[in-house]
Amino acid sequence: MQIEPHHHIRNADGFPTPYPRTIYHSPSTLYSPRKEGESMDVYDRLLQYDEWATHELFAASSDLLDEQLDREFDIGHRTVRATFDHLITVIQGWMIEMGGQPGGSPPGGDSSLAALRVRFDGAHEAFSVYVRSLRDTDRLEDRFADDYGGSITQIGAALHVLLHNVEHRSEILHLLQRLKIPDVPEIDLALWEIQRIEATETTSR
Amino acid sequence: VRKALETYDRLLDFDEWATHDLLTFCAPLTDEQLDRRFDIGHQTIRDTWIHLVWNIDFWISLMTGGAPLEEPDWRGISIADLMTRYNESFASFAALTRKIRDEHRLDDVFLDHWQVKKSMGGTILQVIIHASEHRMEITHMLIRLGLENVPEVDLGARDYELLNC
Repeated sequence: MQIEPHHHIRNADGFPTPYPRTIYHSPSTLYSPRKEGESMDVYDRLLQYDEWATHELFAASSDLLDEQLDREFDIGHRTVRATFDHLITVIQGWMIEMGGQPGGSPPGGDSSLAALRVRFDGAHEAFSVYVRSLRDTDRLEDRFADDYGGSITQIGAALHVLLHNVEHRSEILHLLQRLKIPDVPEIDLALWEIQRIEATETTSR
Repeated sequence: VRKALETYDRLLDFDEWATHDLLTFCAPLTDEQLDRRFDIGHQTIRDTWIHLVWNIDFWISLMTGGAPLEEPDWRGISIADLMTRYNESFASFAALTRKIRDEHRLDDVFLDHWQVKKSMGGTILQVIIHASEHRMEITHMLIRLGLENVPEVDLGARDYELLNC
């Protein structure tokens, strides 16, 4: 099945609707056996999805004018640009808290969307390397002191960053909708996985 | 395997905690507030909750060989009834997740309602992240209703609470 980019269905008002429900298939065709070598760790899934979904939003925002990037709304970090900046800054900030080396340029520099994307890529790459190193050296349960005088686990911080990104991507989607940008992408993990599985099968053919 | 066990347990714990926190905050809202329309997502707080709860059952059905479920007509459903339905759905989802994990079937693939391949592990994460996206949508609507002290339901806060409180 060919999956079109951003293949969400919209209602008359232009909002995404639930998936189409007309397709039904026999339960006997539902399951296929796992192939050797297909195993994918939960962190690899979350990290790769995180990068894909954020890139999708950067792409959807790439044609915005400065006025649109900086238009203020009454939620969260108020503007598209400030929300992207916050998302990246939080990745970098938690990397420092967790004892790692943040990637990407520090906050406060060039805030063009192109520069923010480069900064995200650097921050995300460093974060991904660090999280995988924690996983591979069995240090996910290690604790560190946080800003409030308590402690938090490395695994808790890593998952917090990934879900924090989910929340702020949701915020950016809302801002794009309120800016009335056409074809705002749907960036569910399920859609990323469709592409991942198709790419895996194409490669293995 | 141990790492995966702990990670899925954490995600499930957080998902339930965050949803309970936000549902509880919504309990005193009037029908007018629950049904006020906004220009984002599912447009009202009540409809967003219905979508979030239904979505869990939708994926459970597909993951267990069932048919795609229609989104239910729960017009006017109370927050208390949504909480009851959520608790039932989430308990089933958590049990299914742990069963799949414990049977090492996270990488098993099934065909979804579009006859597209999905993995069990990816679908479990989809349900959890989908809920997070829509909780954020509800949070925004609560803020735009002018309500104060809307809870911040992030995983860092939950981890801090578990370890320090």
